[in-house]
Amino acid sequence: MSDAPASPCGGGGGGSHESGEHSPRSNFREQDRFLPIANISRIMKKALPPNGKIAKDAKETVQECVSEFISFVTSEASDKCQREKRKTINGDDLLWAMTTLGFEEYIDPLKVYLAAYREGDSKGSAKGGDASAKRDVYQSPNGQVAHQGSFSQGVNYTNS
Amino acid sequence: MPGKADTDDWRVERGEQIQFQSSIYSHHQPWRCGVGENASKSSSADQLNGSIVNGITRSETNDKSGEGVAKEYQNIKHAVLSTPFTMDKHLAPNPQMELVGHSVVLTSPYSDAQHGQILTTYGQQVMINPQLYGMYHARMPLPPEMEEEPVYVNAKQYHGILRRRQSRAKAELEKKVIKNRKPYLHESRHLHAMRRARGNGGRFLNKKKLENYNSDATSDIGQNTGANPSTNSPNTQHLFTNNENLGSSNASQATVQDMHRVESFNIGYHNGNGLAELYHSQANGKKEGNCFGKERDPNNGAFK
Repeated sequence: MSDAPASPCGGGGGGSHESGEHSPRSNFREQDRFLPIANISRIMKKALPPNGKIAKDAKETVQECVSEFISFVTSEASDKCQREKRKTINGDDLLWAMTTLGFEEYIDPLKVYLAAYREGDSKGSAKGGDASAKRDVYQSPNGQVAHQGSFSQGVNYTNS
Repeated sequence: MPGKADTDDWRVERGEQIQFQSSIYSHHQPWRCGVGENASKSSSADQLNGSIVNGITRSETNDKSGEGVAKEYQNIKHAVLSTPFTMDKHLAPNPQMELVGHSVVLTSPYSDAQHGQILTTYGQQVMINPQLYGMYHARMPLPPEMEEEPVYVNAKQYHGILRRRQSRAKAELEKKVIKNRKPYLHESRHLHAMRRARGNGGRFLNKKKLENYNSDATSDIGQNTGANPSTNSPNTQHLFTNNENLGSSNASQATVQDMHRVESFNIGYHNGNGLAELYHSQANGKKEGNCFGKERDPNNGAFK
């Protein structure tokens, strides 16, 4: 623990070039592994009374839980797509993966959200296959929380 | 289009910020020290909050969901406690397994002492679940370290868990796991947020409040009449110091680049606010961070 306070101060004292070097890699890795924590925090606050507060480590814990769950379900769906020689994971593959992993009780609400999403997508502009796959991946955990707005905001945040 | 516009704006901001790097880093130093101190505090309290979160999860969800969350929770501890993956783990012998129900062909998994410790805790939780819900599900033993107690999981998730273990081990081999979270992701956005004027209570000033703030600067820089009141006394004192520093830098910049500054306020307001929230939550510690979260709720609502 003594090293933890020292290194940030040392980093600050050092030149801007060093911090510039370190930040791109860390930014890429952290963004690659986790969902944006601000969106997760908003979803968590929906379940609290107005005066409720959430500790920072609680948000980070849920962030890691959610990110790992996404990888867990996605890897199951990915295995199925590989067996069927397909390259794109779609929403139905994720529903199948959740059924296979023992989350049958979530299938009905997720089907509702998937149908609503597809209706909304037809109104908007056409999107590429990869983008659709990413959206489908993000939709699964958001479907459980029943908050469609955070989902779209999450996508915007990721793109920026 | 919006993404591209943001990119151009941030490039302009980065060019501007080079001029003020020396002054910015002088401001930045105390925040860095604060971050270090708070990190130790949060780590000490991590176990307590972790247990609370896990307890809530188990009490609120049904058997399967609770089990999934508990399993995912164990992954967090694994991420926190894990060291870089070493070749010794490949040489670990595959222990003998007792299978419950039907037999399954086991793939060779990765296992280590820390993983075993975590799984032991998980085993205890799994044993509690059936008693709480009066339900029995077929359980399959996961291959742990030889000396450790076997851990039972949902049979449907057995292969998925093994696959995720291999994926995480592979990720650890290729690159180190992120242990220390950075207080911010983008240097340029952080510098921009640090240069913005803040009112009473630490919240950013918008265009109108900025004008009031500049007019009041001559009388009293530390305080802003009519600004957001703050109920936390030490928090207020800390923020007053920060306000004075930013006030001086703001005054110098306003005379030189008034129009550009106003424009940057309009464009970067939302992003800056979110970034400041992340930064403040780490810099000011747990209690003050919660205070910020509470105060920012109406602001977030306005943006939505």
